[in-house]
Amino acid sequence: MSSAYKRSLILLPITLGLLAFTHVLSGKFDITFSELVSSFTRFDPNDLNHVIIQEFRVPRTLTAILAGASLSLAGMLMQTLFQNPLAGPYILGINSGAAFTVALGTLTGISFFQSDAGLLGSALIGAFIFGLIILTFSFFLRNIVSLLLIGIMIGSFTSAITSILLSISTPENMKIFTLWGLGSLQKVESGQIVFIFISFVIGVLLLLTQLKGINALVLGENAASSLGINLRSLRIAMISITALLAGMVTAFCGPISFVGLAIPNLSRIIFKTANHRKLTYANTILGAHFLLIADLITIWFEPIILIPINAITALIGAPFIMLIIIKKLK
Amino acid sequence: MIELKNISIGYTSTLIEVNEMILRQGEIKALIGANGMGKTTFLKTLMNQIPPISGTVTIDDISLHKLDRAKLSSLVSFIGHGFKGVDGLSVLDYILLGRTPYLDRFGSISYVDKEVAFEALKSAGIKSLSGLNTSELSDGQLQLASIARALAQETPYIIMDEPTTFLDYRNREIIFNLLIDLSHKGKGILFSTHELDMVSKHQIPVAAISNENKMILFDHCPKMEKLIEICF
Repeated sequence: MSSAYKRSLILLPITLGLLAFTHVLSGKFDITFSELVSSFTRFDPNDLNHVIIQEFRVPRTLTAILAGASLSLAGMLMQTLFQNPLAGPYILGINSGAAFTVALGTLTGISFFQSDAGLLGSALIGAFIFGLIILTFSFFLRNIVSLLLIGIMIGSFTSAITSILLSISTPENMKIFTLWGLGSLQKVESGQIVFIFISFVIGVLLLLTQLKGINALVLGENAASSLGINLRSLRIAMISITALLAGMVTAFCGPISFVGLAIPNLSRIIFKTANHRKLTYANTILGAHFLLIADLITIWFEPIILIPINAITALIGAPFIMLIIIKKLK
Repeated sequence: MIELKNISIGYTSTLIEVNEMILRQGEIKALIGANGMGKTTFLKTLMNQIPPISGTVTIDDISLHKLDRAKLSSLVSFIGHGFKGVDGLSVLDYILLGRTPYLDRFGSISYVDKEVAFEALKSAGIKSLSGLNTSELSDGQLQLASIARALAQETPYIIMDEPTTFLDYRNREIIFNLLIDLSHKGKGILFSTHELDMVSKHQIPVAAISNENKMILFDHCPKMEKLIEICF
């Protein structure tokens, strides 16, 4: 049982590495392994393939890995916080916040807000503000279910305003918003990866410092409290980490659905544990696998049809998860 | 020693008045009272989840409201009712959660923690269950695992809310014998219960919440008829 876990510690990073290689090498332009290596060892700015690797391929691969891991961890935190397997990284409305500010930005018609940098800025601000709003509520709401309901209400309220904004916007602006909403791993530039990476590292480090409390929370709030856990500070920490992880990914890639809901469940089923140290590893590695595979499929289909990443995650994810649930849980 | 002196307990209006009540290490007490008379409120007050309306509770001479949560969790362990097990949580991992007060913030489990957990498994007589999933346990096994978890918490006092609800005769007998045994080994145990027959059979000292909202103490378990007259 625990030897299976130890095996996964070696096996899954290897398969992730192989997947990442395949991902980098896949795409419209054929790139050889030696070109990949030389683009790192002696980068030639005049070599088109080198530029493609460094500016497009590697950032996209890293984005898939970091986004998959971040969203899965955020989902894990929300599912444990609310003791509900239907919770996900967006349950508290961070995505609605980002969507709202993006819609607001594109509606102005100012070209900056319609550029990639402008979309990124609006989404970051929206995710950040809504993270803060939820955090403020969590300060004075004692009941966790109230907090969940407030989060859902704020999300619905904001989505309603967003849809009004969209109904009065031009078709071009609507298109920009819709494309953002479909999610994309391609828009992250090599220089921006570092932001997602840093937020991921900070998120994981903070998460590790809360492991004792998170593990105890599995027994319910009263039991955790009787085990000496300060529920309020734990709750605030869990929400902050979620907002950081999910907010950053959403700002850069748009709202990527399904991963953060499915992978935490998958991790619990496969690893058969409620120990969040193991689950942190499981969600990180499985989330990265999942989004890499999903994106690989969009890459393979690119010559025929451009499938948005959000369609793929659910398209391959839903049947796959269903299969596992039927097999493992009956 | 857990000591209550001239305390009124309740949320807004007084549910129970206690002149004096003491629970020493090595003592066991059954808390008896009708539904809605405030048994759970009383236990919550002892766990510092709600403040008393007036008066103070002291634990080992420190007043309860001065104890922070972490310190309290190394003095008193609490077993609520209604734990149904968690999917993926093994019995051993569940019992190890009892070590939470002693872990660093990363939740790292040491060799000592594991030793203590194994001892707790043995004391509760459920060594053979250690690898099972808590969601697969019967109600009786769950209750024993919860007691083992409280033992792993290594607190001088254990408080339990209706530990034998939903249990069959044999399991009730097992739990009562275990609790008495643990009190002989030095634990101070207070548990709420409706099992008057069991309490009287095992001659367990009683703290009864009377119809007049007063706490009445009996060092020797009174006749069942008398308890019923006082409480119900």
